[in-house]
Amino acid sequence: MTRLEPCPHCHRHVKITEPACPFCARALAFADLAPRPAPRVRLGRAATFAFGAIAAAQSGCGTDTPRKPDAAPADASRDANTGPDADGDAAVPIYAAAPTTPPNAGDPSRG
Amino acid sequence: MATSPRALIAAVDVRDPLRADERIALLGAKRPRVALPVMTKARRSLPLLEARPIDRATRPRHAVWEITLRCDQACRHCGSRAGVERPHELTTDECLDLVRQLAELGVMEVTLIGGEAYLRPDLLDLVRAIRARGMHCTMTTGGRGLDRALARGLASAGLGSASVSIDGAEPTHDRLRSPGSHRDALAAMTALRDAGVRVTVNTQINRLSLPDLPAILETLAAHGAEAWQIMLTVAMGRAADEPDVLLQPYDLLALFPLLDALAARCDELGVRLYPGNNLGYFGPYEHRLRGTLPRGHHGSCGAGRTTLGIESDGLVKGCPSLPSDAWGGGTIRDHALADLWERAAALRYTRDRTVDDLGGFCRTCYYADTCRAGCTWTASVLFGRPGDNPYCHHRALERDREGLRERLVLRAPAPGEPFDHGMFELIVEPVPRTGAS
Repeated sequence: MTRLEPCPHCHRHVKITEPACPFCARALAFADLAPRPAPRVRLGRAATFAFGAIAAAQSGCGTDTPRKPDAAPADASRDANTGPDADGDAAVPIYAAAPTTPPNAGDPSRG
Repeated sequence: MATSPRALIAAVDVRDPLRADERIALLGAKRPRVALPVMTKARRSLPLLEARPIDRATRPRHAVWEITLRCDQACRHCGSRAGVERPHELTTDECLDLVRQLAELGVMEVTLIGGEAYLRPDLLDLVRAIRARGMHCTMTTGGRGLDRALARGLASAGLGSASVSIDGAEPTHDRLRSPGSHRDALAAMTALRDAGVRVTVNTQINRLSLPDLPAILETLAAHGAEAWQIMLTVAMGRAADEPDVLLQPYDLLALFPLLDALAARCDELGVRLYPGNNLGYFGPYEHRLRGTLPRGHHGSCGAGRTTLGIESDGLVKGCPSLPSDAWGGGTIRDHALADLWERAAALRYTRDRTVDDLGGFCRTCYYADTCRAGCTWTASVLFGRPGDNPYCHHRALERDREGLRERLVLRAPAPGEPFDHGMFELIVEPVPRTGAS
């Protein structure tokens, strides 16, 4: 699966291998793009949704205008033995409650 | 000088998808069906397959658990046609054992839903058990009977947050739910907040509620909501009985610029905006709405991969919204939860889905390999099978660029059972020259 990033001109997501945006036709140059950080532990819903903003804030860079981040960097309430959970799948199934930061978010020793 | 989010919202032409006379008629329309559904028992003893490495490696982080289908409202957009409890709902002991199994399977968060979850007498016991197993516990509620005493009980039991459903300004909300229900939902939010339970709001977007979205945001922020989940009303259950209430796919062209402005206002108000899984996908506002996800955009349906749904008689599905018969993998009365998760064919769909499983526009879409038609549920209840999802902003934009739009027409009504659906036809037609709908 090819990585997608927003076209800096029209903001539609495009494959980073594209030489030009298929939507606005402007030239693209994603060659030097740094890899996206991936979660190292399983994340809860709130932490998954906030991951990008927090990663950008921690690295001191990033192209996102961060939306209001959760209070903690990650819900590491399960240990890393469960494996990485880097998928970006929608974290909000229908008929579920909107996530809030769990009280033990960011404390890997709990949960 | 920077433009304020409120000015941005005002600048968006919040085009009502309904004409004034259509809105009046739809607000005043009588219920097309008043009888509660006849409940059937869950299918039992479904066969299981051999678990594969991918099934053992995939673990749900979030379970959405309908603990009863009994409800104190009969909302006109309710997909499960909730009202009366199911025959043979799980006993307290069975529920407590299921909590154990959820924790052992690796679930991190359990959301209790209904029906109306608080109508189950052992609700607080279940909340306490979920918390005791180290899982986060949340709840979705219409709030009709959620008083201060119950709110204090929920806080004491360890409920992490409660999401109250607000589906419009008062006239719209009360029309969709029941008279007085908007007032009661706001009172429930106040009671929860005062008791120390964190409050969020969820809102269904349809042709009645779309113009109300700016007002809903101001109301929920004034009542202390920390987060706002928005999702499209889907043509299932009672919602399928009133297709004129549903958005048409081309309505997304008006909706998404509004959502962009609302996202800015959410930031200003300190409210986190969560687009639900069926609010699709990949238009120019994707970065704005889902840019903080690990990949920076929508992925695909998480049913059976990150999400687990459970019905009140123990039927397990990949997602709580999916129709029971087609998507139920079996019940916990017949099999261990881990066996159902790993070995039930119905739960494996999104683990195995490829572009070859898609159809129509979605099959050849630029984003097909990433999105895979998005929400499995949304397309399934329109056409009887997943894989071609017209509720997509990218798709509406591409059609519009061609001078076309997609319109859904109900061809076969829903039979009137819980989680049922009708059959729709997708019409691709030229965009009308003037604002005809």
